[in-house]
Amino acid sequence: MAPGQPAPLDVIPSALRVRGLERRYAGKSVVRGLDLDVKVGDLYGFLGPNGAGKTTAIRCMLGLIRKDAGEVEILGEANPVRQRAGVGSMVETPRFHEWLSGRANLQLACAYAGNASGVDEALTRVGLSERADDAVRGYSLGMKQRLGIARALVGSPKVLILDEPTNGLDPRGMREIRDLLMELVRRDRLTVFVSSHLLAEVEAMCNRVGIIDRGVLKAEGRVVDLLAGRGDVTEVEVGVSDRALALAVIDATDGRARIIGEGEDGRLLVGLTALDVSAFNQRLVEAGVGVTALVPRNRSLEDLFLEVTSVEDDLRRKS
Amino acid sequence: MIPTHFPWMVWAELRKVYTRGSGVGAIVIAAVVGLGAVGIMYEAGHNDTAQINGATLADIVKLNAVECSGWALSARNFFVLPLFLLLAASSSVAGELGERTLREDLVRPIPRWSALASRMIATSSLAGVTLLITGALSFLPALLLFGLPAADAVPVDYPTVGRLALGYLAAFASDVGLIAIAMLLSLMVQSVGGVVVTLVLILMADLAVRGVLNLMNMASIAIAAQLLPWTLGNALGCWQGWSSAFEPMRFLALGIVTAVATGMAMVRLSRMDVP
Repeated sequence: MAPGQPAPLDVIPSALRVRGLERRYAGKSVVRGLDLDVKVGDLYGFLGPNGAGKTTAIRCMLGLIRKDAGEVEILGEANPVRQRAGVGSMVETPRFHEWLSGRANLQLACAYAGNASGVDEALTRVGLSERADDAVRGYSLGMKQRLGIARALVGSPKVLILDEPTNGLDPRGMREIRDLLMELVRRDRLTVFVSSHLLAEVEAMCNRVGIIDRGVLKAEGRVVDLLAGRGDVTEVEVGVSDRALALAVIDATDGRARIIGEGEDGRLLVGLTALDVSAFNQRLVEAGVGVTALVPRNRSLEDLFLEVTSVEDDLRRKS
Repeated sequence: MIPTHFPWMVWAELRKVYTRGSGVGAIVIAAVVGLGAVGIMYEAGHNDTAQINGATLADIVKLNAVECSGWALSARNFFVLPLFLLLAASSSVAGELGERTLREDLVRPIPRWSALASRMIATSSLAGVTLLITGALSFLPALLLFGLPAADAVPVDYPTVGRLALGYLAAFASDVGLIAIAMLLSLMVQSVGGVVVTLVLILMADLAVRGVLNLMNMASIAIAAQLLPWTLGNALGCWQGWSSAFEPMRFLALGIVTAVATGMAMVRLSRMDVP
């Protein structure tokens, strides 16, 4: 391997490995055959629309809810009790014993973690040292969110599993948490698995992502690979006079043109494979579709997200 | 297997139990009951005007430390303090399930039963502490004020200091049983209010069953007398033997109730989805 080149993924050990995870509620599958591979040292973004199954998957990984099938390994450990020794977590909005101080809450967490170290350091890292001895009931939502991250940090974890850690934070707070998570990976060599629906945040901080929709993993990989991976696909935003007719034209291309999302001002976002833009434009015009705009686009994580989740179906339903 | 840091888990639960309103309230009430019993006994023992069936209160009330502390035990176990223990137990399980703080403990490297065991130990310690407070604050001042019962002035079966102490010990066992039941109900109904209401309904049903068994007993139906000690109310009331005689069957029933409730609660927590 050349110096400075990232190691191939298959030689980096897994920090979190999920295989065939299934969870059903009242007969309905919420998580279906989920496979995840989070490598040691990853800052992994777990993305999905609301109700996609992110929190259910996380709760299964942490053993809070029973899984109907599948395996979860954390740092190579399959035993559900022992594997949690290396994990710090925050699930949804963190809750505390409100009448106790922030420091006391972390001390209680230490008692259950079996490791009394790190309370002061965790408080310092999330910027709560000065308010650490105040009762939590006086904390703002943002402070509670920070305290939740501090609680995940006590007990010297190797892997952090955080569910929407920037919920309730203002832009400055979100930036601080983002910087903190990146620092934890770079400086402390932690592996961080973070679920979020804030795509720009994830794109800015994560090196790898997994996108889940309706309980199924739709895409997983390095962010750079996922965004650059479809080199043969040209994305264009198309403004059309007749949406239904345009969709019929797209259907008739045998997959060479595909709806992958929605552009600005109600335009269609179309991915073209082995079909150049002018030929596509010609097909639309010949079919009697008025083309009001045809703008090539660079892909972002948001584009990828919209492409692989249910947006295409939704667009078709609207038409 | 017991986690090596289990004592720290108990310490964490003790910290919670003794700072919650229910814990503080239980301690205050235990102290009030203990001291109050001395004051009320003193007043009653010197009251020559109020009469019951022609006898004055001063004649009826026996002023001694055993009697005083025994009455304090009866007052302590009458409704209010068990209610506070019930609140303390259900707050630590149903309350924490509802507030989503229990899950923060369960994502740590511990078997689930140990989270319940640490809570049981901490809440049981509250029961023990309240008994010690009531016992000490009723017995010691009464010992100074009234002294012990004179051996030659009381009937043969009059309660001794030893039997009183056993009464307090039995009350502790009864409290532990109540706490185990509260924890099981907490995991089933998952709300503090729900636990209180459910237990009240269970005890009312038990009262009805005891009423029927008592009627059957009066009608000389032999099985009624055998079944009575096995009812929940009688099992939890095993401490009442301090004033007359203890019934071993009640203790056996209490032991079974406590063990079954604890076991069921641990199995239930191990298998349930935690919100």
